[in-house]
Amino acid sequence: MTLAGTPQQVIAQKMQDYKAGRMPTATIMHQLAKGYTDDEINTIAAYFAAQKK
Amino acid sequence: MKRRQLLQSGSALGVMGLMAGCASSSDKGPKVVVIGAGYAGATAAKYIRMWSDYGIQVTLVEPNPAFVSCPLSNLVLGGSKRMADITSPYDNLVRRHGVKWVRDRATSIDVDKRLVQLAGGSALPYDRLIVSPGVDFMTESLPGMQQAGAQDKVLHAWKGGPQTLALRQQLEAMPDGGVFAMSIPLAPYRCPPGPYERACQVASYFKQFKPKSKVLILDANDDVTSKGALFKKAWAERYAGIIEYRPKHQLVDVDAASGTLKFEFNDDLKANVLNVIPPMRAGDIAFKTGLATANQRWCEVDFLTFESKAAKNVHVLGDAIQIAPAMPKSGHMANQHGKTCAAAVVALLTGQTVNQTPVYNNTCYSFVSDKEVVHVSSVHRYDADKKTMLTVAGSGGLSAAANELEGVYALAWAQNIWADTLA
Repeated sequence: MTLAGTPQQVIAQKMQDYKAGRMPTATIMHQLAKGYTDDEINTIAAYFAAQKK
Repeated sequence: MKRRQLLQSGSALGVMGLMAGCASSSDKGPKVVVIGAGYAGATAAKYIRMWSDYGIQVTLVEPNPAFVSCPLSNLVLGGSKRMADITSPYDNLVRRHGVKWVRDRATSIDVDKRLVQLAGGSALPYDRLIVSPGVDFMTESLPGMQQAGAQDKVLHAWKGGPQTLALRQQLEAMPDGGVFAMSIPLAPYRCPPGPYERACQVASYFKQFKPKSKVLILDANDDVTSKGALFKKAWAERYAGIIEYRPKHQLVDVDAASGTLKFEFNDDLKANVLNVIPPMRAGDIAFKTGLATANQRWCEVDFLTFESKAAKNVHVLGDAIQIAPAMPKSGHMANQHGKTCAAAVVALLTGQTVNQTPVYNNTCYSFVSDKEVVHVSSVHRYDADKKTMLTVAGSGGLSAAANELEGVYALAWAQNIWADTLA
């Protein structure tokens, strides 16, 4: 599993799930996601989506 | 970015052709010199090349033959990793990114003439300089450490490298029933949870191979400075009868010959293996250049650019800086400094606007055994009013408990950050 090339909406939705506490098995990403704005999450997701697999 | 992907996927012939182009174009354009190829300096060197589309020349001054990671180096003491596992080459910075690597040591900086003097005799001119020297030790506060041979016998092992292996060998040579005594300086120091992780690793080794031996932690601080509840739980549950923690032990001297630690208020203590982590400050080259303006120890910077508050066109990164509130001196944080500074330096040298809202995070994993890990995380955002980085309210936190899944993540973190820094 790599983030590279994963669609932007998929990554952004997952980060929003972490941020909102909807990922009960989270270890660390829920803590980190809470530090970023929605715009920043979309930017991060777009970056990974644009990377070649 | 595109060029890098091309390089990675290119045939050998294609790569060579491109690199020739890279090298010739890199003789023109602004000059950046980076002193120190640790987590901060190596990252900055790579990202300045990438983000300037290989238009800015970068010369990296680093005497060591390879990158040895401080994170994970405690696992070498515990025995589950070897030096080769924490060592990475610098080749990709040179071949893939066209960084000029000078295997030499910077001895002085002329900030007016913008020249870095090297031990080998030559001097490097710069338009902008990045000083990323890590820490050096204030051993002058421990008179006995000035005795001949003392620093070869009483190790800090607080830089990944020869002392890591040497301390492991001291532990291997110690008889069962011996005592390992580690002294921790007052905060701030490099890697706040590092000493407590080290205690776990040494205890893990003793538990398996020398079960009558002890780990004594002599901490100058009032309490464990990071992940305190998690470490204390690990010590009680896994290493009861092996690890003993003693706070408020301010070390004032060391007698290396007899293996004795001397404290401000407590009785002298003898042990088979001493591990003294001395108080530390910004690396010598930053100190000598007058960049360490905070208590003569740490370098104050503008957090938008990492430019020194003491010298124009000079940037300071990593453990050497005067930290923002709640910003740890960690490898992960140094990598983030490197990228923030790289973006700012590219903007400054190409007439673009510097990002006014940097945001980045810290993740720090500590191994409490050879497999189980606890973490601390935080997110830091620039505050324009206070002109510093502040942690984002509600973000960050700790592991609920030590666990093996995060042990897997911690090793993946290492592979990823080494690739981000060096590949």
